[in-house]
Amino acid sequence: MTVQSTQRRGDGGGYLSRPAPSGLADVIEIILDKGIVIDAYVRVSLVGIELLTIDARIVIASVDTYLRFAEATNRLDLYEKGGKDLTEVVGDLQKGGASGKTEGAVQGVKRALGRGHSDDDEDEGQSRPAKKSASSRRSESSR
Amino acid sequence: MSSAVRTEGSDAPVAVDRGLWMYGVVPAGLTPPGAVGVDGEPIEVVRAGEVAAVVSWMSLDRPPGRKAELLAYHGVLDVLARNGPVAPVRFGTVMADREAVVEFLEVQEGELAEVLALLEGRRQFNLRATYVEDAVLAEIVTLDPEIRDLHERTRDLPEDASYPDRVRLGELVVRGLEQRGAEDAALLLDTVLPRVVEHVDRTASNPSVVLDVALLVDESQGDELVHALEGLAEAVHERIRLELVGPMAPYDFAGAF
Repeated sequence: MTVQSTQRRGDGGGYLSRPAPSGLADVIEIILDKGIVIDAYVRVSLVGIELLTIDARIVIASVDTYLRFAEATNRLDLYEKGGKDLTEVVGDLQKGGASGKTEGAVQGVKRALGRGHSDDDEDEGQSRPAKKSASSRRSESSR
Repeated sequence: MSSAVRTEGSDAPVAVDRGLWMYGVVPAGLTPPGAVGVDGEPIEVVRAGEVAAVVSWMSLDRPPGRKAELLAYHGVLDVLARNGPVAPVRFGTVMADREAVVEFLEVQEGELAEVLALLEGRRQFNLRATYVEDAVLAEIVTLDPEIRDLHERTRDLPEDASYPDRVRLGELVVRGLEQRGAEDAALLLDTVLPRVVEHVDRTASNPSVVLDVALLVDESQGDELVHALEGLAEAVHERIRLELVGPMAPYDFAGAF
């Protein structure tokens, strides 16, 4: 992830990135599967954009994903040459939290740090609120 | 560009190889500013009762879904959104003729008018929160004994010797990310939700993405939201990056019916 280049742009604090959508990928990200769907019987066609986007957004929890994150942890270099040692990392995280303005987020950092185990409630990540609209995109566009 | 013959200056389709590209629905009383749409054709307005569709003629004799169409569609909706309420129609929708557009508007007039009333004076922002991967991975490896063991066991082995352990390690890390993601998302939303009218979750299943939401915001609340998010972004910046796109047309708040 290399988001650093945009991190310090913007007003005020400078930590909130405010990119303008310009490229094709940004626009697809914004418009894909959105908007009013008109029934097939009144429209001529729903021009497909599957070809452009079929692989663009979907990252599924697969072995490949797991291997990517396993590799990511191995890049961390927590214990040697140039890497911070663990107490330093934890110290930095606490400092980062304490200097912030926003209590909720600070508590989040502290709670995360205070926890000894991370694999309770393992499915929590999947139980976020479902998408409210546009759940029928495949069937809709393939009619 | 299409090789089909164009009939300049004529509104009527001369053959079945033309259709009306749909951009969005606006209040009938509102005259949209001029804009150039797909294929460089000017946008037109088709009215029915209280609502109107913004359209442009296009040739159907061409390969669909090209970059120019995406950018033209997005550009027109951007212009319309700055002018007043607009309910975007899904990208790629093409109607046979004006009668078909009028029929659609008449059948849906009540719902469309309701949506436009909801969108009046409001704009969409997209907020995305992404983990600073190394910082959060360090947290996870540090705090979970099983992950730490697997990490130490696999890091110096050749890839094929440690395959099952590496898969297991990655699975646990992804799980840790997802669990933190759910908790951090809830905390971020505590700051965001009091300042928005509505929100729609756009989160893709990418473990590094904490939150990806479309926000419908009163124009009068826009500055306040940005200000609050700047504070939030500073507070969490060592673990989480916040990105705010907008204001834009309310793509996520028009397709619910």
